Amino acid sequence: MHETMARSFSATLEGAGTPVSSMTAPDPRHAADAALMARIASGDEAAFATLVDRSADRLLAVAERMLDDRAAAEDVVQTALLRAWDQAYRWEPRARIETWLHRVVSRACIDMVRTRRPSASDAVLDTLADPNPGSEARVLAAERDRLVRAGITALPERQRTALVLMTYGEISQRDAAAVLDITEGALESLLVRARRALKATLMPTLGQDQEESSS
Amino acid sequence: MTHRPKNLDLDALLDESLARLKPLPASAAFTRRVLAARHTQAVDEARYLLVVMRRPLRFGLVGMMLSAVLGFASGWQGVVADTEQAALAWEDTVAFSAPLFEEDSL
Repeated sequence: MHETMARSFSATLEGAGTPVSSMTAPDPRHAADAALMARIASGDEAAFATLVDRSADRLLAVAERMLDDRAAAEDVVQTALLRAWDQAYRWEPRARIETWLHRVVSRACIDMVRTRRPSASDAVLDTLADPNPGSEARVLAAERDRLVRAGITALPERQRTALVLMTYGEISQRDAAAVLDITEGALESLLVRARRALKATLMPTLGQDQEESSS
Repeated sequence: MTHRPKNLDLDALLDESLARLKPLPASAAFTRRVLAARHTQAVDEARYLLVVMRRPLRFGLVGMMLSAVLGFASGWQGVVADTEQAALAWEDTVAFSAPLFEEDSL
């Protein structure tokens, strides 16, 4: 892991507070989480492995789509999980572990997006033609994916976080709202605006779809 | 004028793209890396502390050496002064005792 990047996260991770300070929402699953965190706090490596297995996929999905960079996403998620290992003894069972982890990861991603320069390699990759384009429908789908991917990257931070959390984080609307420190109504509004922006990016492909369907 | 096909739904197209863009799950290598990093974390932090503390340590070391040199110089000056004083005292002793010796011998 890049040490400098790990250090730059530290402030962000501290900013996320102790595991779950402001997320107050009683949930029956909190007891199970508290038991798991207690085991982790006592140095139980199997318990930590359980947490990693349980949450790594979703956290990575969110981080990768937020950053559009797999390697950076892995670094962010690793740092967040290690923070959970370090801070387990301070765990307060007021929300789910995943909610806290999603909060840490999304904040770290936002910080990274703000500070880093756009990657030239991404731009080059995006312009490369598919060596096996296949059918026209496949080409169109690939083009749509490219537009949506670029569209997600171009979304304002909060809209992007809301959309990515709800689409790839596999967390409830309530938890996603807690991650963003907003109400569920505000989250819905962010989602509507994010989807509207992404649909606008797909508009240019509609004409091509029509030509394809009429031919 | 472009008219939209009946079956074309932007929401559906967007959902399809979002589904296709779902990142790959965590690899076994990544999981191993996280679990291993837990062990090396303490070492990393110690190393980081050393890097952060390198400059103050260096200044501290230079300060200690300077202090030692100055202390030695100061001590040496004291030794020299004491020796001079001892020598003067010895000379005085010799000077005062010589006439007495001479008188006695007479």
